[in-house]
Amino acid sequence: MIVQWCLKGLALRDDAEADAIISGQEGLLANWWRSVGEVTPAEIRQKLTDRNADRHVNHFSDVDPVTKAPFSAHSPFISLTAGTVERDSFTHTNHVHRALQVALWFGTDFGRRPTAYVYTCWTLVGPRRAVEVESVAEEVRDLNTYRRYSEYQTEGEILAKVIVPDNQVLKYERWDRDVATGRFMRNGSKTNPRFTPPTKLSNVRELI
Amino acid sequence: MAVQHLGPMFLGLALEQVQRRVEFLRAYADTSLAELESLSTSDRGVTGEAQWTLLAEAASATAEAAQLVAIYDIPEALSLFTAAGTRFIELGEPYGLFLRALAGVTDSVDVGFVGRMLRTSNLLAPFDEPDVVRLSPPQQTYLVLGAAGSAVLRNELSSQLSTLVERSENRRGVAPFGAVGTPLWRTWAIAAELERAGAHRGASTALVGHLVAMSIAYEERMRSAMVNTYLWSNLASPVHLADIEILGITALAATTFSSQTLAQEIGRQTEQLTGLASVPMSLGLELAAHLESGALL
Repeated sequence: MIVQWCLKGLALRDDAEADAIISGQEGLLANWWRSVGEVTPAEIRQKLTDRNADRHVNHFSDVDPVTKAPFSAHSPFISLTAGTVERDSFTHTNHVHRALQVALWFGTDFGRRPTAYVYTCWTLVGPRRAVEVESVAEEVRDLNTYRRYSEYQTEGEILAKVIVPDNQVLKYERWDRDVATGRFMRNGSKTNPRFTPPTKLSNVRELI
Repeated sequence: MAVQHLGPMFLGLALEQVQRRVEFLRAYADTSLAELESLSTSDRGVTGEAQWTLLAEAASATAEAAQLVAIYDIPEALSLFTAAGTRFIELGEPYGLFLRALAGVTDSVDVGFVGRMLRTSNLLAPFDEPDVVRLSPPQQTYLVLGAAGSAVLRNELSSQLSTLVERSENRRGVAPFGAVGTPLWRTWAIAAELERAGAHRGASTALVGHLVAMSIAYEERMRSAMVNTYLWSNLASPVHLADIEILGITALAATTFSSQTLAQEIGRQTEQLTGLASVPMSLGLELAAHLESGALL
């Protein structure tokens, strides 16, 4: 397993709503959970399918024939970004995508809002594709073929499943566009006091 | 007017959203540069890696903005391609030369850059020669495209360039290059046509044939990306709407053969192409026409 640090950019009403994700111990929930209020283990099994992963990545806003609502409203997946900044990839693609850039684009509602809330969390990524396994996230690069420089470009998108528990969320940061310069400024952050560092999972035993 | 390419028969996007994306990318590039400056002036010490990442971020965000701006404001796109190109050159990446060449701003500094690259990068060393440090094949390709597509560089480095396009192993390369995964052999065939600068009849015909093949691949990528309407309409799809390679090669070819010659050849060969497939080539022609009209003033 790989421990992958990720960011999630959210367009929220205000700091209170941003706080609730940490203070309320909710964690980052999939739209499906948020829309139905309660999910069961059996429902989770039914939702975590290759077909739904493909829908999330390639048909996010298409109408779901079962629910008659856009698939996005009932997706069991959560898109996270891990960025791609490797030099080797850069020489092939000429692109660096730090996770922050992607998180800010989504968090500003694609440039429509001046403020974005960016959450830092970690998740486990499996070495192989395993959509039906709830506890590991998926790397999106294997799920479609059209991406720019597809041979090399990972885009750094990670699909978490159903929930990123609140103790895996380290903090959130508030980013605002500065009126005078137009640049992004980090205007505050809040760290989660219940955060569990991923080093808990390390299999390195220290000397006594 | 380039903005027609946003219409429903083409990219099917709202101009306002394209402009929002451009503003965002420019703001993000500025943010990275400001962070780079603050790191450089602080006493905390800067690792080379941190500087590299911030400059690379600014360069790639500026290039991405440039290809979007080309859809509605060619002069501004030229300015952004130039800025991005200069940043990539600072990073030592020949992609910057390609961007500066398509923007028509190559000068003695670029001649020096290419000369250094040709001297130090062992571009003609056999693939199986051990311990040879060389540029990655894609960066070699940007180097040769930028140099062969620029009159200044073609004149200054003609013998080295012709040796390179005639002997490089990349002429037979099959690895994917650029946003639509063009095989290397095709891009090196394009470079050879540019390097000969129309010395033989049919050079522009052959070159446009390659551009048409790339444009068909471009359309396939765009149509696949369009399926996710959420990402597409919000400009969050991981694709290049104006495809810098097709746009850039078209612009370089148009300035090499003349816009009129290339436009006629494109018109002759693209009757079967859809409007969407033709978007990057059309933008490249518009960009070259703008450069030509500026040169006439």
